[in-house]
Amino acid sequence: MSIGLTTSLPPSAARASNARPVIMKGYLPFYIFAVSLASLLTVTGILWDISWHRSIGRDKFLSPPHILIYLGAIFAGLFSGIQVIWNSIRPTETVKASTVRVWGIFYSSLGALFCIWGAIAMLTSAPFDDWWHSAYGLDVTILSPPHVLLGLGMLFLQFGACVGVSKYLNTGDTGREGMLRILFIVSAASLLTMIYTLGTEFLHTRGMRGGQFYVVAATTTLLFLPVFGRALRMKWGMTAVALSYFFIIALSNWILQLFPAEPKLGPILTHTTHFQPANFPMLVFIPAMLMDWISRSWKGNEWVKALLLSVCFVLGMLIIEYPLSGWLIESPYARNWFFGADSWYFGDPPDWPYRYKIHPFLISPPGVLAVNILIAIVIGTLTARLSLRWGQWIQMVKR
Amino acid sequence: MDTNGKKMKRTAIILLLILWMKGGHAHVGSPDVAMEGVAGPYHLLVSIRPPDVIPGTAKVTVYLQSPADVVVTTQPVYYFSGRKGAPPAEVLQPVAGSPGAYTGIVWMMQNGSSSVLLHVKGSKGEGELVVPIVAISTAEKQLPGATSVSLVILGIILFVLMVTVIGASVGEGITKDGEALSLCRRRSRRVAFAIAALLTSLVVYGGNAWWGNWAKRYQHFMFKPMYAEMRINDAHGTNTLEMTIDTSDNNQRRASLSYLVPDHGKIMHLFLMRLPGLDVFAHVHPDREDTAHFIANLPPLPAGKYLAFADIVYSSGFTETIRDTLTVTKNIAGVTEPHDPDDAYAYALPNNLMDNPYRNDDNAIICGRPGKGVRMKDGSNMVMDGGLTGGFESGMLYTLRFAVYDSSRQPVKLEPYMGMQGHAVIVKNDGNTYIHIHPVGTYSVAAQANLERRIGSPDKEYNYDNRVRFRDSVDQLIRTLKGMPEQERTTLLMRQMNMSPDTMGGMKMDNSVTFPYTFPQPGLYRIWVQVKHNGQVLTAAFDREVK
Repeated sequence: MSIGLTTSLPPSAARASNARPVIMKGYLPFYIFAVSLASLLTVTGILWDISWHRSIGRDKFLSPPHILIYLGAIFAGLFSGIQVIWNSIRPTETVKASTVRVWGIFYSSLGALFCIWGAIAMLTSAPFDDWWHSAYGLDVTILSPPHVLLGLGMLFLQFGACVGVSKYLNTGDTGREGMLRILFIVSAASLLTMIYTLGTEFLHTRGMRGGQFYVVAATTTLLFLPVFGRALRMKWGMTAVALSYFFIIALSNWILQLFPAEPKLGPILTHTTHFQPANFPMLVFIPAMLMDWISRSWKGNEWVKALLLSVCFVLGMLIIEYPLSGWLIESPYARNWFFGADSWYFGDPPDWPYRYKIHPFLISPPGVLAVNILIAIVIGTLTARLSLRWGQWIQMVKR
Repeated sequence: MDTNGKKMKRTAIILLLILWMKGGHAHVGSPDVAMEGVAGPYHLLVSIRPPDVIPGTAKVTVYLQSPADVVVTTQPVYYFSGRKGAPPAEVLQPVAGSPGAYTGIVWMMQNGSSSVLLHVKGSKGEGELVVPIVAISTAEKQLPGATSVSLVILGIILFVLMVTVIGASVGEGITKDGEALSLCRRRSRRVAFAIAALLTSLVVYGGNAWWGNWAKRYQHFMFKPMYAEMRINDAHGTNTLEMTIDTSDNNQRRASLSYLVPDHGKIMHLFLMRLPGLDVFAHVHPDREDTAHFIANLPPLPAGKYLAFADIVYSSGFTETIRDTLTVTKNIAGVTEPHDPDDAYAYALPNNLMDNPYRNDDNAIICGRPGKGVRMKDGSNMVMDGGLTGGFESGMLYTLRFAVYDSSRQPVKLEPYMGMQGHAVIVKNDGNTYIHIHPVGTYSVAAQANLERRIGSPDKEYNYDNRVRFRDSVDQLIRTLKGMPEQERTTLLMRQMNMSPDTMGGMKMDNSVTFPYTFPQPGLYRIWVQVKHNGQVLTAAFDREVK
């Protein structure tokens, strides 16, 4: 394993070899491990941070979840940066031939460039967010300009990790495909988790009986899952990513609630004693299994494939999540550590009449729901088609 | 006065009016809370600097008047959610080098009436003190220069890098190792550069618009002062001041006007001070005609432009000062019947103006300067301690002490004036800082009493009473108070302020009165002090420079 060369040959050998670049069997650059791990660190940090705000409320610039998030940024930025600097100091012909030239002086893998952009964006968001709080007050929201900059940075970092791994997956002859697929799934699932987290406002359990949920779920999921499926080149690629997303959320929920946490910001209308878990994760892996099967089986027109993927996902989610959301909210059997349906924000009154009931305001009438499902299928088809094309691109990544 | 003098005076008035109209808010430019109080066996002096952006942190400093080995904790208590909804108490840290001083922060999460509950525990026992806070967003902050420059540089790097990455993604990134970029890919790369630049610009534009909307929403919820229109109606020869509060949509608290509560038995305390020298002062207590209309008969006031400060307190403990200017077109002559038994007025003459026409009036006083006492209308003198050497500094908590002596320099025993040892009004000479304070501090006693009741209430969430019923019951109470003999009224007022009339609520009624206060900024201040002796309200004025 080399620390960051795009070719795994030692520098002396690389300089000697002026011919076609060679990727040595069994060698993978360390930086792709580092950025995959950073992808996971950042998303775990975000999930912890959200739970922190829902359970404790008050934090500092260097709170543990923030440290985890920025550690991910530094980790990814540092290893990607080292890789660029290493390649750019007296670059060999091999390095020049197998990397992307940036601004005439730097040589980098494509994935590392995405990661560096992500890391800079994440680090930029820190002073921006700090000033934002001093100017507009402490915000208790996911979507604010500095938070979105942070989120974009994380998405680029995670996507950079996917691109970095794809370069090696695309050669098909590293002999480490299993490991590469694991790294890709970790990065892709982190990205998918991040997307769903940024869209929490539209993708929460209480919204699953409204049409908007299906439109947003189709738009976000179908933009990414088909890319991942194509990049992974495996039978159950999309399922693996969706299942990993499920476990990232579920495991963080199950682990976080074991630790004590007390609200430290008033008004406290519900006294909670432990970290409050997020919503039970969506069961995206079930429609993803069907999508994987369609992807494998359908050999015809890509637009039809996109339509089939979209129909499959939207109807699959409708069949699964519509009834499940009601059960999660209303059933006393969901109020346990596994489903975490009794999780509650301390600033909300415990006796809110709709705590264990879906508010009628959130339920779309059948006609409206049907129209939204159709809209979701149409938008989902467009995004799935875009994603399939994007998937072809990721399969072409060479450097 | 010569022409130049008149011009200067006119310019000064215009300048003052411009400064006056520029804004300000509750208690006008003096947001720091100072309080002198008792927590069980401990005598405390408390200073709280509320945040200027909500949610934000208030800085709390507690001084024990007799340093002891104690633990001081603090909790923010919101009127809406009460004590049960307060976060756990946090320990204030001792201030190094200042025995008996403790400091820390408290998060204020909601706009409106809040309080800080202090708990002191030590070898002598334990006790609590409630300090009312008005939490409002008042600041509009700009990005500091250094942060701004670094964000712009990072933004440019991100923009250029983004365009580079997208270009590379359709160019070299998908070209086989060692192969040169084909013409087609070069073209695609150029298109990608252009599209990436366009899309990134759109994202930056959208982000900027979002930021702008966010700032607008913040501005919408910022504290906006309440406005009123004042005019004098002399149609019936009574010189009635009519005040109408603006209840249009711009008034953030128009729905709360029905929930005013009396402070010291009055629904409103109105202070008038004549511009530009702040030489005429009146403290009157208008009656409420209906939710937005107030009236009062004015005492004899010379013609001129007056600054008007009207203090009101809501049942939630939120306090507010309504500012306006009032023009008295001709001298209000003769002695009119005081509108309220506690109304008072005075003419404060600067030391250097000996030819003032009001010099021989019974209500005329000569402003006290450092080392000089003020002879009040009954012949007694009030002197102000401190400030003789070194003066005052802004941002420091002081206890301003005043003592009254009779003509033979013997101490005079003061009587409670509206349930207090004294009242003071501190005004900066430009009129942009104003506060009405009491010996217990800068807060409203009515606000504290209401918050104490709220903290003692078992309800986690507060439900407001019917507004009409509430307003009527308050009006009835004020009418009853006004008709009472003075002693009975004082006793009742003290009971309502949770003070024991038997012990005068812990007040020591001698010849002195103290006020804890932090001057917010440097400048020239006039301090009006009102006390009561022999049933007569006495007013004194002092000028002090704050550095």
